[in-house]
Amino acid sequence: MTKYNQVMVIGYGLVTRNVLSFIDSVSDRHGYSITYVEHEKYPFNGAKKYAESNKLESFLIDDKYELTSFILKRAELGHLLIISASNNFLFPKKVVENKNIRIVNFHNALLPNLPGRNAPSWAIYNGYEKTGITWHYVDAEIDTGDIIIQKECSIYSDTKAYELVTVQMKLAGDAFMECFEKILADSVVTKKQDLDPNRKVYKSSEIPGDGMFDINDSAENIYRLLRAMDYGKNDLFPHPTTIYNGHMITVKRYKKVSSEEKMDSANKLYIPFGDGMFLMLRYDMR
Amino acid sequence: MEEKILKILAQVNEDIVTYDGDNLFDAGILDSLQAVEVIASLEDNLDIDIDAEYVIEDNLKTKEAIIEMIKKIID
Repeated sequence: MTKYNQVMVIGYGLVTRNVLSFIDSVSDRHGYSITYVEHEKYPFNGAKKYAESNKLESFLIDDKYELTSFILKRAELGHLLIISASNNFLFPKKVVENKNIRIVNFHNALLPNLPGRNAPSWAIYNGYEKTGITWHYVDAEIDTGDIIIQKECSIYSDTKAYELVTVQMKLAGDAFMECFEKILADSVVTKKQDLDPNRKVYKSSEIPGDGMFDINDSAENIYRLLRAMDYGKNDLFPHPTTIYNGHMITVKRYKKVSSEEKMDSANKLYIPFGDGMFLMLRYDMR
Repeated sequence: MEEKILKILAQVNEDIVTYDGDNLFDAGILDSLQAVEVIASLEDNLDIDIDAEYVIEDNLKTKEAIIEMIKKIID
């Protein structure tokens, strides 16, 4: 049995879709209503598609004040469990501290490490070999709430940010399925975070290396920056830049290539790794 | 060229190539992240640039649509 008569899912993309699908699949056992809220519009939003094709109640509420009011009104109807996944809406104090509301959030790092935004990029940029995901209860601060479950994953020497995110989304979905019914029963054995008072909370405006590298730096370091900034066509960050032959250039594409694959071409340069492999950079002059 | 594209797609996700329906996104086979992977893989393996304006659902919803998109870009 659960005290929650409403479950609200806020977010977009793969993990939100998988979470929504699982919540839907077990709803008959628990009797809660399901609401999906799209707070930010993204293309290819699998969660929205799932909600629409399965006729779940869904809303697009992109104004943060409207969303706050919406949540508070819903909380007047009974106990509300909010599942926040791939969601940039920061829940205000009056929502977090409402006695009828409990919020569970997915973070793409192993808290208390890398709180804040774009954690996969910082994990790669900081040279981590391991990172992971955390589901946690939300309190009034950013990413400080009690931990429900964590899963670990590896970062390899070629891992790009979007590849890491893909792995993390899968882990997040699996972890959610393991713990959801305990969350419903309020029977999770949580772990308090050991918080460093000087911890750094990454902002959305921060970019690894400020988006720039030194052309004379090692191929490994440059490659790590490029991989950390690489979300493919999601264009989360601007293209990385550097100064080359006195000109500012923007890296449009990069790839690790062998000496056999090297091809002299305008707007391409090759930086040796020192083991017969090269970092190919294709660039535009700014 | 078609064979090469299908091979690239299969490496990202075999289901993209075996799916016979109307929309890979509606079928839950493709999502925003896999779309990024598909585009990145095509760009890398075909050594082309796929402009962001091409990255829309209509161009990615089936393997045939993806092939058509690549042909337009190369031509």
